[in-house]
Amino acid sequence: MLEFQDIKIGYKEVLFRVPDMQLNKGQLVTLIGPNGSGKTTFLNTVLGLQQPVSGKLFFNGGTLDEMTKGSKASLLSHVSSKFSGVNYLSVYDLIAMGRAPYTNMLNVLTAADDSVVNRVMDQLDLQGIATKSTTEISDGERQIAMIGKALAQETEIIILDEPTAFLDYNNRRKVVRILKSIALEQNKLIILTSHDLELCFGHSDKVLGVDKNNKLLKVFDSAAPKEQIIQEIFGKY
Amino acid sequence: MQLTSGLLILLVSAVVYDLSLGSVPISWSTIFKSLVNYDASSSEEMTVHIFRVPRVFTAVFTGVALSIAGLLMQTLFQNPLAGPYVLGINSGASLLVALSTMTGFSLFSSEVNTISAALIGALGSGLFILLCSLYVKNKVSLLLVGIMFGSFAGALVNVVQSYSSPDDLKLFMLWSFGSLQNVELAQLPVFGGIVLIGLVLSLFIIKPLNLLVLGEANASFLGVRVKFTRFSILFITAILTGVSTAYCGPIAFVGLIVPNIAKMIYKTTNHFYLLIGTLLLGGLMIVSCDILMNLLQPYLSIPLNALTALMGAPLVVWIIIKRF
Repeated sequence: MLEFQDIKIGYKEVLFRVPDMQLNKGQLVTLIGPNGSGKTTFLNTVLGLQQPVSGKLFFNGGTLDEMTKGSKASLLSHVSSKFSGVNYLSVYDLIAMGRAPYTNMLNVLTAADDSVVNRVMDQLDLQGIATKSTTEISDGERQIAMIGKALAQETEIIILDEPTAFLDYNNRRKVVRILKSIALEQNKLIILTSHDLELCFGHSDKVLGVDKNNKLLKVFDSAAPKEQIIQEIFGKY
Repeated sequence: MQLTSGLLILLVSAVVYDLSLGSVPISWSTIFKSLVNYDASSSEEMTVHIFRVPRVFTAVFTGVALSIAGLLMQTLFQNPLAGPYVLGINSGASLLVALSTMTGFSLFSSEVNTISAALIGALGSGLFILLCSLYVKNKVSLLLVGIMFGSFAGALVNVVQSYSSPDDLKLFMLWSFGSLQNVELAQLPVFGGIVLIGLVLSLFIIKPLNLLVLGEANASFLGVRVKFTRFSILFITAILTGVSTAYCGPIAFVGLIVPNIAKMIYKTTNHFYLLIGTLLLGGLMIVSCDILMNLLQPYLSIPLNALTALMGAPLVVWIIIKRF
């Protein structure tokens, strides 16, 4: 569903080349690489915030430039690494924001929207903190709530920029497991960046690694040995 | 809902009570009669029409205008301490008023009165900020441009002041005190109409406003057209702040505090409710200030701008201590 054609990622200067490939629904794809190798630039390119230096990106055969703002919002959702919460914004209201691309001008939720939000909260086990303010919950709960917002948006692709960066070990495991099950059960393409190699190797269907030296994005499948991936991407130390 | 109707009742009773206050006592029946069945030959009824109705409605309009503008600025900049004046729109108005009161400044070879001068200044600086918003990528840069513009205009006002006569200086000082008594009955529909336009336009951007509390990036992923929304917010803020400064002079703190109080009592980030709450509380705030000024009148006379700052500054300190 997400197809790369002759893509070179970068801003004016090429950071790395992406081999022609296709990422499909139902997959959890992890992007790894050293700091400054262009992981975020890659995500921004997929999100359409930045143009690739050259090449084309196809979503179900079409490009982002041909889409309206609204249809983009029902194709791609994004979760950032840190969200500090907003006063008086409850967990329920945060997740309900994911319905915004589908609501009317006054942002009123229909019964259908409401049931989507409730289904997401059941899945992520957030019903207990539904009315709590997003400033009063833990970092882990907040990150899971943000994932809930992306789920409620019901997009085919979910992109997460270091979703586990600020979480403790248990919450990291929980988030990655949730993402894995969402990709499988709800048939979505999930792309995330992470420095948490051990955790991601265990759950990813594909690992994309930025080889900074050769300016190339390498694709590994889940069976590839960890040591080999680490050596090719991060080198010897 | 209960909260909203409670605030509405409070506002209406404050407005009615405020109508009964003034330099001469006028009975309730006379006030009521002048409102429903005006008799121009009665001097008491004329007082109500010429002085009180304009004063009280000006209080409501300016309170609503500044508070809504403050709410929009706080949401745009994701900062509870932003207000309608952060972009320097009032400073532009001050500059033109300073020029018109303290120099032989004239436009199209005719004398410019204070209200027109303030209006031109406010709209001019609003236009400047709007143009900047098209070129500046980052909203924090926009905030800095606004603050710098404010200081620059303020410095120019100082230059004008240093060359002006004591009488002119006094005239300008009186304007900068803020007043609810400069508006005539015939001007009320214009004032009210512009405030209403600002309000209606705000209703159209409720959804983007609700999503902007997560920041512009997140809002954009949810389908918000960020640049267009930013432009709309600035436009609405410019006309609301501009018209209020033109008719009443600068009034400090109201636009900063009222949205915060509205958020505290409504406990939501849904701008549909916040707009309603801010609107009612904004009107209530300035009408209460007017009531207080009228009650204190026999003993001491406090300028409006000073009164709002005297009440506002401690409130802001309280908000800061409570939240940060």
